[in-house]
Amino acid sequence: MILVVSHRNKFKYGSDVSLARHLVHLTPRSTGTQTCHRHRLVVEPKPEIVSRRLDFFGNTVQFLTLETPHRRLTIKAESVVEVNAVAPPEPDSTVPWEDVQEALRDDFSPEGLAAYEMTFESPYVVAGPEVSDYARASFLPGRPVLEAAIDLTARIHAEFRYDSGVTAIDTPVDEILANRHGVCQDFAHLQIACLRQLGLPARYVSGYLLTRPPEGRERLVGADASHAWVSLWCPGAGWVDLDPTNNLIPGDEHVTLAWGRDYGDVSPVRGVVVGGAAQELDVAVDVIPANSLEETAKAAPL
Amino acid sequence: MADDTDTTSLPLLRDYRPLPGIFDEMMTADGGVREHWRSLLRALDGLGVDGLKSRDALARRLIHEDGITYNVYGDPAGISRPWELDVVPLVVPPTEWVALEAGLIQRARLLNAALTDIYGRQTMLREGRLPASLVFGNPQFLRPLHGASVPNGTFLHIYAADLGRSPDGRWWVINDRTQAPSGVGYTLENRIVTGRALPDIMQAGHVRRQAYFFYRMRESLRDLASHREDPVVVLLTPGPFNETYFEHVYLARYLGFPLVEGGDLTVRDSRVYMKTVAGLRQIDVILRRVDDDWCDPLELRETSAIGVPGLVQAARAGNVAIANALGSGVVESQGFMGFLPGLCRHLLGEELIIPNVATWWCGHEKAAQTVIDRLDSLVVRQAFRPLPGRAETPPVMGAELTAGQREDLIRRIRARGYDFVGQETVTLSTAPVFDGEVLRPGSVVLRAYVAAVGDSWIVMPGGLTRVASQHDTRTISMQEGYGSKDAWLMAEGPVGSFSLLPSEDEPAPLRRSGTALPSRAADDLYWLGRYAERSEGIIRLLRALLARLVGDADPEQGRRQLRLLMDVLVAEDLIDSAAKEEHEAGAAGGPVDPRFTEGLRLTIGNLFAAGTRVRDRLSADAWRIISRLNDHAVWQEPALGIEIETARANLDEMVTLVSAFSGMEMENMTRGMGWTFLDIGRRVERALHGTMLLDALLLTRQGERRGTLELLLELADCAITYRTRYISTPQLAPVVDLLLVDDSNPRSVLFQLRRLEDRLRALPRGEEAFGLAPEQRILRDLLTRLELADVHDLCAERKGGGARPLDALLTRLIERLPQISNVIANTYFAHVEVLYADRAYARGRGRGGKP
Repeated sequence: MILVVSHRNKFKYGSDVSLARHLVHLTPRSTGTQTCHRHRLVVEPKPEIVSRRLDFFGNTVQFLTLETPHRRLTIKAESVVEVNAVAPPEPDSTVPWEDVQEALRDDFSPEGLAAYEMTFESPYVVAGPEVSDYARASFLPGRPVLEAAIDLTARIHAEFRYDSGVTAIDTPVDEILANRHGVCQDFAHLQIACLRQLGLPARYVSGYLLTRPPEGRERLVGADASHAWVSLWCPGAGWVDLDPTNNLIPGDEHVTLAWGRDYGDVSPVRGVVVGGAAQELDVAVDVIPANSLEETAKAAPL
Repeated sequence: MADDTDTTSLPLLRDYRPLPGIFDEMMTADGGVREHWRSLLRALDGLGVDGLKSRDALARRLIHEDGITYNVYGDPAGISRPWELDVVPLVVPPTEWVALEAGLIQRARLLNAALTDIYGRQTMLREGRLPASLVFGNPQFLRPLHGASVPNGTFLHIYAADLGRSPDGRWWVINDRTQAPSGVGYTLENRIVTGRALPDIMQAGHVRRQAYFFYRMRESLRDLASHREDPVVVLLTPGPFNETYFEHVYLARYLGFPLVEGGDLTVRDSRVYMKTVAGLRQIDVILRRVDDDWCDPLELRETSAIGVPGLVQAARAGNVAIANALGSGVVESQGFMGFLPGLCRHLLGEELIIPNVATWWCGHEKAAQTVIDRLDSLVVRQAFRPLPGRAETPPVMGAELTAGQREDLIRRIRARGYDFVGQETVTLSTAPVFDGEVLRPGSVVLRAYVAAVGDSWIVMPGGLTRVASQHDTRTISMQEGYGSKDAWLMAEGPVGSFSLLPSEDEPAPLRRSGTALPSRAADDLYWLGRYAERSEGIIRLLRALLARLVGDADPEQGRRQLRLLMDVLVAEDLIDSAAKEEHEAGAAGGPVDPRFTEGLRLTIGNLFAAGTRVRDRLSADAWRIISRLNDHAVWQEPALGIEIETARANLDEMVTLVSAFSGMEMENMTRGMGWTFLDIGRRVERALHGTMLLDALLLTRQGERRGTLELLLELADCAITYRTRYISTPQLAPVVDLLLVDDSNPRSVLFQLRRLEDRLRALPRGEEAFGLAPEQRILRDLLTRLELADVHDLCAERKGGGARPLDALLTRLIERLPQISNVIANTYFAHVEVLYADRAYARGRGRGGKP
């Protein structure tokens, strides 16, 4: 499926910002199942300096420096992405979950090391024993890893209330578990914590959902904002995505932006500004399907 | 010098016995004094116990006067305690040192090679030589620095190792310090203080000097930017609340590098600049004392308020050299220790010279089992520093755990082994400590330092010796409050004299100013001037007040003046009206009401704090005065309930100190930018205080004027001048003339404003600036009014008792003087508010309800 993504961030400040530096993760990755055909970042007012690089995880990160005093800032990312999802492995064909850690221990290949890296706690994914207990209800002895993970995804979806405004990005995972509510980022962090507590490699995926679902299908949660989900590494099958907010395995309706250990590695816009008290942010996301690449060139001339 | 006569019979060693089963640095198990200690002991004994006592007291006094302190976390902010130095040094045998030197350099090379691999190709991980969890599970591995190259391939510009000696006489490495090793400055200070306490003994002992080490270190840091003409090196400190702030100041001054905080630096287009009063100045090398992940809130720990946003980008771009390189802390992890012998063979093709303390990293099942099996004889530590938000778990001695704790620990080791290491407890050696009467054995750890110089390394002769007052097997840290010692390496013959100052033969370029003044330092110096002046004003007020409280003066006039003084104190917000009413009757004798002295306590506290932040710019003598003033402020501790007469004597002493400080500053400080800001502060404050005194006292009713004018002259320290000019009792117009517009009186308001005008003219202006700057305009307006004023007109009473022109003039001064201060602050001090867009982004996320 070909998708045109538009993600606009509008910052409003109560006083002049005299100097601003922003670190932006808004360029969709090209992956085995996704190609980013076109991308541009439009920033208003125009930054004095823009530079880009690939970060440690291979995501494109752009650095913006604004040196002219401003009270408003708009960062808009426009991208054309082609998603060709592949079917996930049969859950019961995956290895027993206990074998995953074993398989990784002596795997020194780049892929193996990259997966192993995702088994450790990270700044936003620090959890206590309660999280591990919660996870174990799905991870019964000998159960195939993907089957257990899908069960966990379903439990989080069923047992947690989607509730915006009650958590912040740095709400600890233990607190999310205790209060049983949050938003997509919280559910992703919780599920990652559960998986890592069991020694399983899990990474955080930042991205988008199709805004208006195909006919006859329900609109997904988080479609009008940036979305987040989880990816689990299954030996032999590679990374498999899981969306606990919507209880499904992402397919053509999910656009991947970036991945890392947690939100902190891939937050869409992270910045330090001088001045600018009382900041407000307005975010708008639109993900619209197109019939062909030619059509996107006409509809959204990037 | 040393002969074989028995040194064990010396009185100092009367009670000295090595502890059973423990290596003693000075004495063999059978009670003989080791050869390399004999000459020192004989020299100490020659001083006699009283002699040594007085040397010890001298060292303490020097430490106190130099303000050598160590802040202990957990104490209320700002409270620091004196550095503990035992005057008896640790003597390191020269033959052992040769081996230690080689071992320390090897370890620095090894850790540098490990860092090169970790932040580069990671072959150690891909070949399975180093467990990946030691890197990926280590919060000190900084991903944004992966792939960044460092100047000259050097990560570690200064490396420290803690060494302990086991009962069999071997030295072991207990800790590696790789990101921002502390203690170098204290080592230097210990050497200087010990040298002043025992100058004869140090000279006779041919103690190897450390100045050359610092010289090479300084030159190597400069050489990192050798491509730049006149490179700028700064020392980056977290600020005055850091535990080792003292040594940051000390080291900065010794090495001649400006001391900066994160807020003093800014990054533009991947280059680092220092904000100075004359604009931005590019920085080439940063010697940092800020921990790795606190250095840049943009790419590292986002909540850091002590970092420099964009620093990581500048480092990656190669536009600034950072010593030590960002991310170097990753190899400090205790988990690495067990792998170092293998890595040393692989990376350097050598055997590790100095062994590690036996360490089992529990990330391997077999090692974890060993730790669990031997728990009673081991200490268990966290392998890594904790993630942000997670509390640091202190090391635990296996033998001291309850059954429940033990079970819990074993469960955690089994669940997340890579987080733990088990280590053998080190039975440290002991060395003699002077307890005030005799020498007694205390446990010692020696922190040794290695500096990178170009492609090679050098070791500081000696190091920082930390010592427990008695034997203690646990690791010693200053944070837990142990003492310290100098460490001596005694050479065979005289040591060459070497000083950090350039030799006389070397022609030095003439310069009239130092490096540009950082804005923050300008701010602190300005406030230092203001607080010094304010202290003087308050001290004079209090002195006058206490004199009247005990009824020194003519009783009737005394009471009237007491009321007037209370009015001034209330007007200047130094006491509240409740205190005023209580005391207006005048209570003779008894302790001083602490409410009176609170304002002074606060002001001296602020003076001391501002002084602390610019200590690197004050002379040792100037600092000593500030430090003594602060000591006097201790008597004002409310609970002490000090008697009025004692308080008066103290205030007299404080006036002398404050005057000494202003004299020091007038006579000894070069008229650079720093002095300019200090003097601006002083002039603004004195003008303001003088105006407020006039305003508060002259608004009173006419009938009381007689005592009022005399009081005014007393408070302004102008009574004598007045008496020599006018024989009569004080009258309004002459007093106003003397205190307000007499340009020859250094206490008059006009005098302050004239000086202020000179100072403001010296301030750096932008290239496009023309005409008067805003603060100069305000000042010119006030000056003109004072200059044009006719004193008799000013003081003339209006018919019907309306406001005199004097009142309007005073009001204008009180309104406008603070504006000058504000404009200067906005223009030169550049205080910034930093806000994290990231947090706001997080709040705006994920809206939309569940369908």
